[in-house]
Amino acid sequence: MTRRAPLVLIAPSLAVFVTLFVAPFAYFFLMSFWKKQRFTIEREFNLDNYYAAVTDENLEIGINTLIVAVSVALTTTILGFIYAWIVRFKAGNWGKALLFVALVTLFGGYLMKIYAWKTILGNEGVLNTALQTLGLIDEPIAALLYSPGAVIVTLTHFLLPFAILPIYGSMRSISDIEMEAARDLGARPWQVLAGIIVPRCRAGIVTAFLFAFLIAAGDYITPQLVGGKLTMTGNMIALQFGQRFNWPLGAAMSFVVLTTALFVIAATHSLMALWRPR
Amino acid sequence: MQRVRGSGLIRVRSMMQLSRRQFGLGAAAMGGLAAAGLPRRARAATDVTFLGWQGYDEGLFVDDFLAENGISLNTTYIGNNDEIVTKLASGGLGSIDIVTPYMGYIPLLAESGLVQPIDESKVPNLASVMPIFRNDPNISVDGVLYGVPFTWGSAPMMYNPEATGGEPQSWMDLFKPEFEGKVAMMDDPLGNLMLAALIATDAESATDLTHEQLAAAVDFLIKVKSVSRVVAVSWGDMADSLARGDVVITFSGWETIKKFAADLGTRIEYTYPQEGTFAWLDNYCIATDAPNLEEDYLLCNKIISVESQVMIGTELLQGIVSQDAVAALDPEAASLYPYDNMDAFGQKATFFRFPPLDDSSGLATFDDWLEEYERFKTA
Repeated sequence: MTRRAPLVLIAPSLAVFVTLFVAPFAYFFLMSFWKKQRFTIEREFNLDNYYAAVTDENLEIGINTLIVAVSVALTTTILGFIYAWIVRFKAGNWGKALLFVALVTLFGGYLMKIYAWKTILGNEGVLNTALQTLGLIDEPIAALLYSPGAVIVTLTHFLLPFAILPIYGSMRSISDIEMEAARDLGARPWQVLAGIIVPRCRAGIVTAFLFAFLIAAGDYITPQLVGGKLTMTGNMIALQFGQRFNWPLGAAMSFVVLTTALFVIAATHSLMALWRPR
Repeated sequence: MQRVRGSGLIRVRSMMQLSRRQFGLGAAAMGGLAAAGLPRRARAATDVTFLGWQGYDEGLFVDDFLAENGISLNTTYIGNNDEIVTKLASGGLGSIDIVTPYMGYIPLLAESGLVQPIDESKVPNLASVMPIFRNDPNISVDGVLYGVPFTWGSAPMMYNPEATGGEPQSWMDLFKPEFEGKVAMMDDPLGNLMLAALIATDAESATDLTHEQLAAAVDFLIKVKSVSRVVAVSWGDMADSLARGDVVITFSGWETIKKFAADLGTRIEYTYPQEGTFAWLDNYCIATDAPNLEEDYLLCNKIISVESQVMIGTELLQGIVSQDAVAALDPEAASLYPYDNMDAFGQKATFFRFPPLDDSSGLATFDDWLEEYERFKTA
């Protein structure tokens, strides 16, 4: 009984995991090799869906999605790092308040942030109005909204708290003594940053980057609402599962995105592993 | 109709303010029923199964009609018209009573034996339905009526008169240099392709397209996209873009956007350009082997009653079909649709049947449409 006790204890969560994650995952993986007829799915093994998912327009959209997702992940990670650095090392007693402010934005909701940015970036939005009032522009800058840039800004805003937290968690483990020792030994600020802080925050940085990347790569709501004519892979997957009723192709596209994400995860880990403390 | 365009439902669902209103209305209706306690008549409630768009049952809750007739509505909401076909064809017959397809689907449903003919003598309110809707050829098969039309709309061009300097006359006005980057369109495959076919091809019917005509329609859509700023995902999104001044003119639209934009503080008008447009008409149909035929006819008759139609026209802001109800609409709701000149509307807007589902005719099938539409999505 004692040996079996752990199994018994994890059985409920295991059952939930298998039922709600593993089983659907396996089912859709199988489905990705099937094909769609008008209102039915034929269980005929073929690789056509995977071919369609990585060629022609889907390839082009995939590359655009990758560019947007990497841009979001880089921007979010850099800003998250700076914010966490200020909270940990510069803000003193105000650090906790700053951290609280960052966390409070999580309560704002995803759609609310999107519509907030529409209000800021639109033709009659806060930014264009301010620029016109200051006499810096004559006509509103249309490219601020309904563009890839608007998608990057909106997603970055949404994901920033998720980047700050893991990086800040890593920074808390850095002792002030280590940094003082480095400075005493003549290290310049950038050497402290590159030689101690960044390498010691590798886990947090990788987590922040990947979290932002994975969410941005799979998102399809933000591009629809602020991306104008931008189409991302998520939009095409939604199209297959919705209007097209082509679940096999949608499943294949999803697994292509998943595989790409695994490559990015592996590459990020490998790159950051090279950045060791000096 | 597919997703957006034949479904006032998607339209309704896509408007946050409407959803709230609907919710409040539904809650009020349900509260009223609850407060009323048991039905007034001493009879057990009959469970009637309703399969349709969210909101399309609300006209039935406008008064005590359901309680008085001992009807308990079991509603299942759909996300697209295909769900009606698949649910009826996969075991739903015998348990489902009412379905609410767009008129383009009715011939398919009737020919497949999934819905039954309407006994017009049991729907006396049909007499007040405007001829343009009552006589729509899509809702009758071989002269037999299969659907009770109850709500409609079309795809006009929306424009900001201050920005356009007047009423545009043609869909080709979208390509005027002054509108470049100020055009909005909807992400609506069926609606967009029908409208593009109407404008850019010589097809006799916008849904009977050869593969070449379909390709030409998509080419036209890509051209419109090149001058567009927004491909909106909901009518609320389109109204929002117009109201904020991000766009000033649209390819496709919905009459009710005028009201949504007015609520946001911007005057937006609509027009039916000279090339014409398409219209949609949603119906109550009775499923084959429906278990509660008597109650089903009561519901079909109720949804086109004056009180239900007025509710649909004023609360859901959708087009209504009853002449008597139009006379009872308040001026604001009546101004949303061209009720005062339906003949002129009929000359500009056409109720097209659904594209072919199989390739036996040699024409492009609906699946071809969706596949070709991806070219527009990725352009």
